[in-house]
Amino acid sequence: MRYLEYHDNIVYSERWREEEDSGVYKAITANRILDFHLVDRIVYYGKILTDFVPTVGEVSLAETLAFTKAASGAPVNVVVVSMDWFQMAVLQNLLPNYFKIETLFCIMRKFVFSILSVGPIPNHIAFILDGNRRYVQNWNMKEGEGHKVGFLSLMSILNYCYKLGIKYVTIYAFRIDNFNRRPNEVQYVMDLMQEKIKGLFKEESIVNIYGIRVYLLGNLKLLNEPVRLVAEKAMVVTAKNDNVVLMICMAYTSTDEIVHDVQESYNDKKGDIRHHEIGKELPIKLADLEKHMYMVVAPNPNILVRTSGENRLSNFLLWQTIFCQLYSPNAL
Amino acid sequence: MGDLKTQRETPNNSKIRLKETIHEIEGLFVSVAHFHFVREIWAFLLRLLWNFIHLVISTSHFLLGTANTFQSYLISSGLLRKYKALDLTELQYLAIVVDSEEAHNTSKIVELLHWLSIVGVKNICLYDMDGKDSKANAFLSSMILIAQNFHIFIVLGVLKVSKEIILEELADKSYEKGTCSDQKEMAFEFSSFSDGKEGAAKAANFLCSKYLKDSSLDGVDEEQLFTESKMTEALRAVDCGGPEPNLLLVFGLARCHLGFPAWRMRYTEIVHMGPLKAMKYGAIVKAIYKFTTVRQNYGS
Repeated sequence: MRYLEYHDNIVYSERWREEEDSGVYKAITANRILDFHLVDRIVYYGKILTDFVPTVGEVSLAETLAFTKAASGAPVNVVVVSMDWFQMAVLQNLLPNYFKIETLFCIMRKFVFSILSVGPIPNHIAFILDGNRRYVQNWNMKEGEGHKVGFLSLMSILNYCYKLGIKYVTIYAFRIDNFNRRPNEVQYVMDLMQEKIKGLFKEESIVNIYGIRVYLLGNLKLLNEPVRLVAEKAMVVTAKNDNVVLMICMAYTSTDEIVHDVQESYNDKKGDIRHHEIGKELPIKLADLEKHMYMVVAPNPNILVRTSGENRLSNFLLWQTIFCQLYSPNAL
Repeated sequence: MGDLKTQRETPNNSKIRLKETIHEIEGLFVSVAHFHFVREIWAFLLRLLWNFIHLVISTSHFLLGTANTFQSYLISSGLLRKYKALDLTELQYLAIVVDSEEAHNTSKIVELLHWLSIVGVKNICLYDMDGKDSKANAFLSSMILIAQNFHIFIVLGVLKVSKEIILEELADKSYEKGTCSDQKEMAFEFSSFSDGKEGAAKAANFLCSKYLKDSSLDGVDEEQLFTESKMTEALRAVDCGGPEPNLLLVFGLARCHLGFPAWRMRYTEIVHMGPLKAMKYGAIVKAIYKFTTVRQNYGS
């Protein structure tokens, strides 16, 4: 029974509220059950056939506006849950917002951030998003779900960063080495990225809430056509924002960046190199190399965080992390 | 049934109501904070809390440090069996980054190298960042060349300057302690900031001038010349290349790699060991042991 799969996942991960394709799960999440222990009180689950169907397809029961008669009926997943009056009130949104745990968390978070703001706050943080596949293995989830969950974590991290006042955030989304993975896995990640970048264009997205300017850095020529177009469009659309900056590194490795840098410097200084005499100062100086890096749009990162506890840089920002604090928490 | 329907809300509505509530509560605070006095007290309270959190974290670091010291003494005394026999097949090249101020302490460096020779590491690269200290350059006059198979680098970097002193003292020490034969098989490399970023600039010049020479012959595509392998060759040609270390030990106050040559650091495990004056033999053994348990899949 499909619900049972999600039953296990609900207990493990309370963040899966956004995208699920089971009618039951959507119905419950639409009513915003925050206490996931609720699912322990399932008395019965099953299916009933009804004589009516929603007029608009592919929406949850909670979001349906109208129904229409349908002779042969439509199957509806039914879950019978027993709960006390408090949970019932939460379910039906009868509680005033003051009693909700979310308000409390929100206020506490603002308090903690105001304490942190007393001390020095980094200007630029870089993240290496690692460990998605290990997470999936640990929690026995479907392959590929790790990236979706990772994306949700990323969104919440970005929210916190920008609320705390950190101006530049860089994330390492896709390495050139990752093209060596299985083709369907690479395609899945590419499709996911395309979908998420498109999601940034929406009005209520995080880009417009904080006024984020998005850069997509890397060797974009290695990406396939639709992803590259979306990436370029994202950069153009957000070009007028100037509050905070998000840099997404796609098809990026530090060595590739250095080579590209050398090539650009060469194109820049062709004349000088041609007329260079032995013994005189070399035409390409360090300052020229620094000018043509992809990451010239932001100052050097102050902290680099790598999720999953590995202690390597894996070809990320090798040039820019001279004085950058490296941090690898064990969390996945 | 009708009652239930009116009481149920759509998710969007409830989100909006939640935001409004939070704004109301904030508004309450703001109206109170219009009094300057209250704002001052609030700022003072925040500073106090910040310092308190700082104290808590410092204490926990201190306790962690004590526990680690205890563990390293245990390891040095040989009580913990798993650290006794280290499998060094994976560790082909070890790099050590030292904070420039601490790099003046050559006796500590020699002791560190001696420990590493006991552990059995064969190839070591020593790196420190700057070389503008004129006091260190005075060592130049008292250099004695020990062995012929060491490269002579451009003199920059505190470690580079005192390279010969270090090697001589190391040779003396291992003669004393009777581990002479091990030490002879070790290969050392000393590098500094000039091999990192500036080395890349030199390689860029080399590559570009080579391209100009080649493009006088027909049909050499620009794309073919500016590739990673050509860059590696160029770095080697300007004497800034070298093998990629498997493990990098950072001795200094901050956990950063201080500009170790970027091209060689792609898949290197970076481990922070604390300040040089507080280094422990057990900590080094533990770091190398941890390295042997790591599995890399290089992105694929």
